[in-house]
Amino acid sequence: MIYRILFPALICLIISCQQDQAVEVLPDLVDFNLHIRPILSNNCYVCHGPDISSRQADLRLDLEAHAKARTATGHRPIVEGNARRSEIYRRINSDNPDLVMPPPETNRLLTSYEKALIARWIDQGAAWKKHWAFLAPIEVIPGEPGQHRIDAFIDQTLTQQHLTRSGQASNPSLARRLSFVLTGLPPQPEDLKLNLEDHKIYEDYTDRLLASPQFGERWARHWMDLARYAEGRGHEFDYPVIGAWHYRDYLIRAFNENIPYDVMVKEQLAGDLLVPPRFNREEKFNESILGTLFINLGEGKHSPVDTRDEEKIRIDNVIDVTTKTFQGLTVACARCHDHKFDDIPTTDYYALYGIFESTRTHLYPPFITESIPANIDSIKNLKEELRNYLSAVSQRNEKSKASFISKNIDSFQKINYQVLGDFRGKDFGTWTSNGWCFDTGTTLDDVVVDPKTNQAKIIATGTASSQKISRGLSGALRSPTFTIDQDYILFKAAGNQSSFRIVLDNLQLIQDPIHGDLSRVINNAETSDYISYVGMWKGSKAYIEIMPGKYFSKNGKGHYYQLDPDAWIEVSYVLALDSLISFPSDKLVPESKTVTDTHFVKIPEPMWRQYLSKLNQYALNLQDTTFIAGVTDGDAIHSPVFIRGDHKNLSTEKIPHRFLTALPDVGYSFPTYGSGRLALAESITDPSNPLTSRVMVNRVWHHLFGKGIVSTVDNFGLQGTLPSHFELLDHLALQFISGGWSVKELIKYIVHSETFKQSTHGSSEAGEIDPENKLLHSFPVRRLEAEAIRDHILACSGQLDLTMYGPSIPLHLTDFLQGRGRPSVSGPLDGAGRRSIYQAVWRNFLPPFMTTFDMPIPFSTFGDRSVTNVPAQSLTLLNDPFVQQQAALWAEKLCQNHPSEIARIEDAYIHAFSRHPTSAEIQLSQEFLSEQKMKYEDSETDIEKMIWTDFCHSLFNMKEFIYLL
Amino acid sequence: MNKHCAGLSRREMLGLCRSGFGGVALLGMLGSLGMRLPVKPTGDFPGQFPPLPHYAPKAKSVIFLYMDGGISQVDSFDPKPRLEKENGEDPYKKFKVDATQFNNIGKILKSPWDFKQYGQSGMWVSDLFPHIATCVDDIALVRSMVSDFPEHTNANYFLHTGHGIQGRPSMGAWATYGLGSENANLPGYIVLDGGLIPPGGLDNFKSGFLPASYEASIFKARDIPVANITPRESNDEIQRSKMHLAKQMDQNLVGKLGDAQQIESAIKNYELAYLMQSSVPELSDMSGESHVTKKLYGFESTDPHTRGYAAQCLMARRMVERGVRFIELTCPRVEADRWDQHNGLKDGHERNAHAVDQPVSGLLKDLKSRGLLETTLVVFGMEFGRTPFAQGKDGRDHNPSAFCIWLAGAGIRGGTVFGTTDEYGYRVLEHPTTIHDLHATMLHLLGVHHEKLTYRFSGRDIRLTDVGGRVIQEILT
Repeated sequence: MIYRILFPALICLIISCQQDQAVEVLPDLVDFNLHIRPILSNNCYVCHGPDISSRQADLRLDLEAHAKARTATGHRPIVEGNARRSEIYRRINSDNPDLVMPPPETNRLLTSYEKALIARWIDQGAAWKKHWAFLAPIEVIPGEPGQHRIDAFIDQTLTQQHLTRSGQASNPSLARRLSFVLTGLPPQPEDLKLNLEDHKIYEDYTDRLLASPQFGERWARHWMDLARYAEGRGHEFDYPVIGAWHYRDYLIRAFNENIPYDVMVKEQLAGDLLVPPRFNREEKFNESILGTLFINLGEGKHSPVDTRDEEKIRIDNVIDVTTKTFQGLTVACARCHDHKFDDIPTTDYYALYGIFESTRTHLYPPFITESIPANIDSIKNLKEELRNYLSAVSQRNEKSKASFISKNIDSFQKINYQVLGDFRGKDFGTWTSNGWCFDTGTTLDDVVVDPKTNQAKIIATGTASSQKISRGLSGALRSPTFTIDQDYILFKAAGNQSSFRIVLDNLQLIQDPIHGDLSRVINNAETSDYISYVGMWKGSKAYIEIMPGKYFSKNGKGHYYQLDPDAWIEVSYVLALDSLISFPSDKLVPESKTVTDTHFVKIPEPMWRQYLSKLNQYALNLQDTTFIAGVTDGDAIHSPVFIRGDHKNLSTEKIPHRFLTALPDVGYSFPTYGSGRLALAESITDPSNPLTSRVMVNRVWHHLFGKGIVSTVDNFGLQGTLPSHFELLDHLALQFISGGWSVKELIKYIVHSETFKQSTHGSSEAGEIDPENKLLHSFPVRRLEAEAIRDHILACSGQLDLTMYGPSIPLHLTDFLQGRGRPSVSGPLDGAGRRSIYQAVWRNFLPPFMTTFDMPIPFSTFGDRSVTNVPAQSLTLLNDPFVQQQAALWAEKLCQNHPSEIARIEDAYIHAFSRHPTSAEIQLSQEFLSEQKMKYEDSETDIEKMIWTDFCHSLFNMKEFIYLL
Repeated sequence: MNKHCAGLSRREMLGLCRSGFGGVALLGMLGSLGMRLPVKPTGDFPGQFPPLPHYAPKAKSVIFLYMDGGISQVDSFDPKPRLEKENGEDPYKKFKVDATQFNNIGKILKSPWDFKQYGQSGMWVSDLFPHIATCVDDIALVRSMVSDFPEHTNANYFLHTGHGIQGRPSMGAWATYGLGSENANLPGYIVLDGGLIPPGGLDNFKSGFLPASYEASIFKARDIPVANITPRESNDEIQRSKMHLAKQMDQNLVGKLGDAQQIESAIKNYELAYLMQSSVPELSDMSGESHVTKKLYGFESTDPHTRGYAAQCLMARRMVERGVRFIELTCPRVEADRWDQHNGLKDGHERNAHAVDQPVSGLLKDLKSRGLLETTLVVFGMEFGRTPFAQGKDGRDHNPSAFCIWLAGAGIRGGTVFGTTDEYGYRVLEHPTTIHDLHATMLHLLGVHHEKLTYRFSGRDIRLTDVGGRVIQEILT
């Protein structure tokens, strides 16, 4: 309720902040969050804030207790109710350059208005408050009953300035606005005739747009700016982010199906840990798992000399993107020191660091359907039947291997070794099987069949086998995280086109020149010993990953992954040793137990045929061919603090996994095993989290109005801006939660307001009083985004292909696009007519058309794109071959569809500007056409085609084409 | 003042004056091509920054000659007789060897080139650079450079943006953000692409979180130097009439809208784009350059790469004459790798050196004879150096612990040698000089205090020199 009282004060501050200070009126009641903290944060906290490393005079002004306590020198910085006795008042008003605060060398200067605010605030009792964004939202009911609440909030602030909202925009411009902001495409010509003043018709039209598949494409692209979406990892060769485009398709489906926002958050942080996961409505595959690509979309470096440093960079990016995207906080600032402004200690950063350090990459097939487990069970049952038959008929053959142990043991004693994994017994020990192929245990007691002879036997010595159930299934078997302390890793294995990888510090891009030996492709059906030298990395943490299939290079880019139908791997054991050995390793680690072996037994013909046919039937749909780089849990690693960000200078204390300490503790306990990502996701999506809902409704508002209620959409911390409408933000945030986190309902609610329907024509008086239109006295004029401009061009020319989903369209390469990692194929000039969201995004080869119109570089979260105005944009629309090509195609379409000149002009205007031309515009157009005709008279070209191409090209270059009015 | 000034509407102008950047931006704006509409100028603190430049600039323009891949310091500007003596010996027995990128550490390797002293200053230069050697008295050599990264990509980002990871603004973007360009019809920051875009790609030259207007325009030293600069219409009249139609319609629109600053700026922008269509080709038309000048740069060389780099260097001078603020040249693609000789040091370094040596000396001499060297800072630099021991048999691996760069021109004390390395040229002994120091010095010569040119992003005031940077006073006049 307090904010309502304070509103006049707020307005006063906004409107007059940079103008003549003398005329400014101090608010009746000075509020800490609204007035005082911004002054302290901007001017004092660098030296008197949370960060101990830069703190001066042991004084903190970010904590109430410190600021009001007596200092070592006997002064009291703030004396409640008495400014003149307060040291900070004396200091900020001092004439002595040695005493005045802020010190002259900081170039920071308090205005007389700011000084007066501080004085009045102290005199009024110096009431302290937690940062507004960390306080729970409060519901305030504004305005008249029956009035849309958004309008009531907006009117309330406008009225205080004696302003009113603008009238409703015209039907065509409203249709254009709705269509572009909801779907990113221009309205259909017939929709321009809708009478949107009729509420029912307006609501129906809104519903239709929200239900169109193009809605998801528009809003998915907004989200991709947050997720730093790219299909390549940048660095030197732009290696692929495996299956990145599945994440894009996941987002499109999620927005279209209106998956509750809290579910989307959980899926992106912990989709692999959700029980049960969310299955696609039609095709029944696991959607949740696709969300986890969010974590894995960052940059990656191959061959880092310091793998720990590389891991630090990757995790820093994940923390940065995660906290900005979901919480509107810049937690990554706390990597080297406590946050300078926000209440985020560096230990919070390393709590999150441990969470992501305990997270491993896993390649999932993107379409895991519910039918897979059933098929797998059928195969297991089938094999069990055969095994029962065999154990009934076959003769047991006992033999002991104990004898040679005593014979050879002496010569091995000098070798230090450690068993990292032994799969000759029944289970995997401490190793973890992910995916299906390794199942839950070794092959011991399974049946093995020889298809040539129709014979089978029971396996007496187990292996970890990727073909335990069937070839073609994907998955991985991984060791616990361990520290490398021997020079060699030895493993005994057989296989075909499959991998044994030693993953150092979670480094996925393992390759030469340094790391080649850490990733081995096993290509020999005979079981043998393999040894990798790891002495260079003693002291590093690592885990081992065994998987069928292998990484490979395609068109000069490494690190694609493929799983051939006949790929398999079987591993008996893995050892760490301190020296090379010149004898077979099983002499070093003989099986200590007595094993039971059986001979091959011939299976009767009918039984054999039935077995084979059933097996083939069940295994038919199990081949995995495409993959996504999702995540899975590793062991719980609790990170020390890297002192001043230096990973070679560690604190002794390890920080347990936990959520941000400044936010209310909602009581999710972080497990002692695994990463704790699910608890993190639950802490974020808990309704009592004061940020999650506010941040998301503000993002939606930003996309609808072109700017947020909090204009720094990714920063709700002290360095972010204050909301222009506190109560409105809280109202939307609370409604979003109580409405089940429905993004579509939220959008519908906002666009149904009269505020959204306003015309862009504000009164000149409003323009003077509210020049930046913070109070929304009219609808803000805005430029279309890069994607919308390109899609709009294609929609006009008739070339837009609305096909959804699938692999991206390669970038059209020109001579100006050069460098390492250049894509091997060039895409079509028109991007196959597909919407911009389907155009490839490789970090080292971003599409120039898109970046020219401000698509962000995908390195961090960008919730608020820049809107620049540079000559390259004009040059693109003037001279880019794509634009010229589309102008010609549009001209051709116009000429075909309409015989008369006026009809063509009319039709062109409807498509380009969603309105009819005025008579003056028709006249100008006709004059242009006839003048242009004369210019071509001497040439032998098709004059009609030329002049209409010129006309269409001119329309592309008119401002109305790229602006929403 | 008119309502519009170089594409700025009254409100934008007002907004800028109010912003923390204050008078700075104004100064830059008026001359700059790129700075039409910085949407989010820095800071909310009026008066925080004194107007730019912070002090009288020595340099109007910077030419950054980027030696992609890393030149071996012990084979170019930092002679080490001890390598000769201990050639073929085991480096592990001599000093502590750090892990290197390829970790294929061979024996100590002497330089295949002889060193001689040149000029009044007697600066040592190897036979790799016989032409540059004739300019040593205009050059200040820093032998004690260090970097934080041993891999190309990170080291390149660090060299170009002061930060090892993708996403920060490039030094050229900072310079034009602070100072604008002196030519309204050309971009303030141009990269002249010789064929090798460095590892890390175009992000070495981007504007990061600064408005997109400050990113580099990538030019090639040829007839059509930049994408979409050439009108595709068969004659100028056709394009002009199209633009005229658009402009008439736009003005009608503005008339109807009342207050429409954004759109007015966008209209202005078209006029500029139109002018660029002619100013850029004029820039790249070298037909007016004399035979003598061209010969000086190496246009007559039998080596096509020397001729190519000569054209880049000459174009750089033409850009300096036209007031372009920051120009970077990337290397030509010779028949060996970039300067990154993990093997075949002799052949690879020789090919690369041959391509750039004469053009660089030609550039220095030409600038000097025209009086332009006094106001132009030329920097010859790279991301790191190379190891004094071999990689394999005849290569050298990356070495970020010691390398050389040199500076010449505006405000630079020619003939100076700064910093020393150990007897192997492996590590810096005296005056370790960081990339931040280099950036601070470059900005200083442009009249900018490196700690005071900041931009608020992600809740921090970020600067090119991050939290470091010291002006290398010892090499300044």
